[in-house]
Amino acid sequence: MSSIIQIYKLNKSYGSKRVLRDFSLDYESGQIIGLLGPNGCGKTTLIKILTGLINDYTGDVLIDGHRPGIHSKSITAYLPEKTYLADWMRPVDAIKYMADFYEDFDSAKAVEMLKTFDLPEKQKIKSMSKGMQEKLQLLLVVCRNAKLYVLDEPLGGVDPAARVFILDVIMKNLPKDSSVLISTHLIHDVEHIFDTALMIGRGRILRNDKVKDGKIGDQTIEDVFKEVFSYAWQVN
Amino acid sequence: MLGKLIKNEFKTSAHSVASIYLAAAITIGIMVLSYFVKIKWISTLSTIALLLISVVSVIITLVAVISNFYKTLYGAQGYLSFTLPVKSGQLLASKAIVSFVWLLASYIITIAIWIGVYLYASAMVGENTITAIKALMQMIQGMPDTGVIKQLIVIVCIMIFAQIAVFIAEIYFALTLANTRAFQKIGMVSALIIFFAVFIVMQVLTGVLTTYVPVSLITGTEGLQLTFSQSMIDSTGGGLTLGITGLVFEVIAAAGLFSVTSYLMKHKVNIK
Repeated sequence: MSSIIQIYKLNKSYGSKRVLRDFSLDYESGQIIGLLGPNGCGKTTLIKILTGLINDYTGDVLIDGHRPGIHSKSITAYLPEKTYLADWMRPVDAIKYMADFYEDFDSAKAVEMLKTFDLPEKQKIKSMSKGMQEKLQLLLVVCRNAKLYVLDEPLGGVDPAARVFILDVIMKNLPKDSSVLISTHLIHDVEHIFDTALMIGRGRILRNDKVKDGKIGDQTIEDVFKEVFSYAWQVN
Repeated sequence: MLGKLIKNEFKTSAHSVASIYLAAAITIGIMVLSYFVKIKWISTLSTIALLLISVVSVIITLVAVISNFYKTLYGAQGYLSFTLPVKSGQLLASKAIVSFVWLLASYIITIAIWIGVYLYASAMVGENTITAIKALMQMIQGMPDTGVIKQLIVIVCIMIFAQIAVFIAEIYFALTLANTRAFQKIGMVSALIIFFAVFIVMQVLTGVLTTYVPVSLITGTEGLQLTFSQSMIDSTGGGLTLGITGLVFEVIAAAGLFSVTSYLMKHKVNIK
């Protein structure tokens, strides 16, 4: 198996605040990686670096053997926290847009999924509810046959039923040999799907463990998480 | 990929500027209609509205150019734009080309509206405008230096194109630099400050180079002639002297600003 994500001595600061310190890791392709940590620990910053949204860092970052750039972007499907589609677009426009730029985008599947998701093809995005917009963005991501999927808090801010739906869509639609990086702090809902759990805090890698049946050794990921991040909530 | 970027850029920007051009088209329709049905107050109101629209269209186009660039790159839509498998230079070029077309279109439409309104007003007061135009054309064609006029028109067009390109380059550079780590804390005020600083420096340098450097085009009986011995400031009369160093500087500066903007987009920009 070749490496899908390689990071060596990655450092990133915002002014005097160092968000990532000497980050190094190497992941083989074909696994689901849980990127875990409390709010503000640098998960989104790491994801933005991997997807090419942040470029002023030091260290080496390689996606499928290439620095973030045209190749990495062509094989990475990214679901950000934010709604990134233009207001004037309709789902049908968004599908055409994705098909224009990504060779691995499956338009027929996307049109089919619009019906499954009960999204009107020609309703303007600005008139859609937040839930509908999130469904559409999820659809656009899972309709790509990408090598790497980067999902930033896909379960954040949604009710438990929606979480089950989202996870189900992700697991059913992604190619079997693809790699997935999911950032979340809602561990309980997703721990069973992870092959690896990466916990980051205070800008460093705190744990980077293989997961089997939702457990690290004989502990659940959630228990390990509580153990590792208890400092964040300690008063003394 | 550049073609696809341009196509999608036109689609996006058209939504911002289409309404003003639609308003102009409707007003023109009303004006033409009022001419035939001879209702004077509708004619007067629609003429005033059209003149206002002509001015507003340039402003709206300019605002659309700025807001589209900001929203699609450094707003939430930047998450989509910057993760497309394209070079930052292509992303920038597509936006610059489309902005250039819209700005140029707004200038042309404004000029066309003013000429149209002049002809319309002449017709309303009973002047034979077609005869007047024919007389004007005959006068121009009868002039001994028709070739010079044509050459001057070409030079003026090139100058306008360069001005638009520089203006777009200045806007894009300011917005991009404002989204790098050093300026992000200050916010969008920094974009304004950067823009005006660059704009003023460019205007002063262009003015000085155009006026004082002795590389000029001089009108003569054999058309425009290039000279390296006379600047605009020491023009002796006998023909029009047009300094061209400023124009050359503008073209180089626009290219430089676009290159720096592309570099910043690739290496320095942080998408919030």
